[in-house]
Amino acid sequence: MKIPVVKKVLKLNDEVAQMNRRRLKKSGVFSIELIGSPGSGKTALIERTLDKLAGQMNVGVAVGDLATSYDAERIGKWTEHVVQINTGRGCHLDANQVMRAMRRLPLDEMDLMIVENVGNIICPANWDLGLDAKVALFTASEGDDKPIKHPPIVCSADVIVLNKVDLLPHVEFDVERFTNDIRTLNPDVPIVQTAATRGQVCEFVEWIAAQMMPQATA
Amino acid sequence: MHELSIANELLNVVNENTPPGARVVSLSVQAGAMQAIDADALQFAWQAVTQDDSLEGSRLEVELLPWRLECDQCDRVWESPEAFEPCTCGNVRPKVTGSDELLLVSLDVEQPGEPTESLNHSQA
Repeated sequence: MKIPVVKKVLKLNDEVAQMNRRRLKKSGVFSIELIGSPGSGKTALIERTLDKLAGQMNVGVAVGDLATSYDAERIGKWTEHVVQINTGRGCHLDANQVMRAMRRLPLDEMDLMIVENVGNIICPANWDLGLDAKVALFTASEGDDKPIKHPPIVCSADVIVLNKVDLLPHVEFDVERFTNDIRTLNPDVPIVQTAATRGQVCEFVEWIAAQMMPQATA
Repeated sequence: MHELSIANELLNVVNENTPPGARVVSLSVQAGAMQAIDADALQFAWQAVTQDDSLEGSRLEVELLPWRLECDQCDRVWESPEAFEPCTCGNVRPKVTGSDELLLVSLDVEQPGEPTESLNHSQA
């Protein structure tokens, strides 16, 4: 006997993501998720961003990795509100892991929550964590063809960061091709350039600030 | 390998939608190209998560849906296995408009005592 079902496979994850969304909204926290390959500079971008935002807003961070608390230790130099999520063998975060991390953060005191996903630009793309925006991080050293090779992450991103732009003079990277490929998949997504380890994260910080502005000024 | 976590989620949805006492013979899943799913990997993961479970041995059918493309120069809309395919009008950058679904579309189940219809059909 064949039974028609038509149910979203990720229904449970999506429901928990909605709970996260409601919880963050209640505390007035703007939340972003950082997705990028291992070594793309996700943690460095968070560190420099926290440096720039110091004294302006209260930021909480959750960092995901298969193992170790190295990232939390690095971030801990910039904020006391940091939670390490270890996924064991999991190649991406899910909404439930983020919910547990949120319970360990003082949401009511926070303005911004940054979640660093596991280093991976494939698996995290379609898992809704219940955050306001997905940030996809690419780097000059990875090559300009990475967006075209990974359509799902580009399609689902709310902003694209091109990091390590200080290396552009030393690597073969066509910024125009990179930009055109992204435009095909996601025509209106903003693209910002950073060199996190050089402290150049202004475009990214300005993008965050613009998202957090009251709608009236937009 | 997000297929393993997807298989785990699928297990919940299948259990929720199986009538009490019924045995699942097969299930059918549709995955849009945006989900970047490897059908073999998902089937392997399904075997792994259903091991020693009442769903062990159930057959997972995976239908991969193509990309949907839209040409903003000639308004042509079509589907393709490639996310980047020039339009017949010459536009080399048509827009990608969707294909992000991931759905359990049907279950084939046997009730205890019921003649095994689906098996008879497959043997005919």
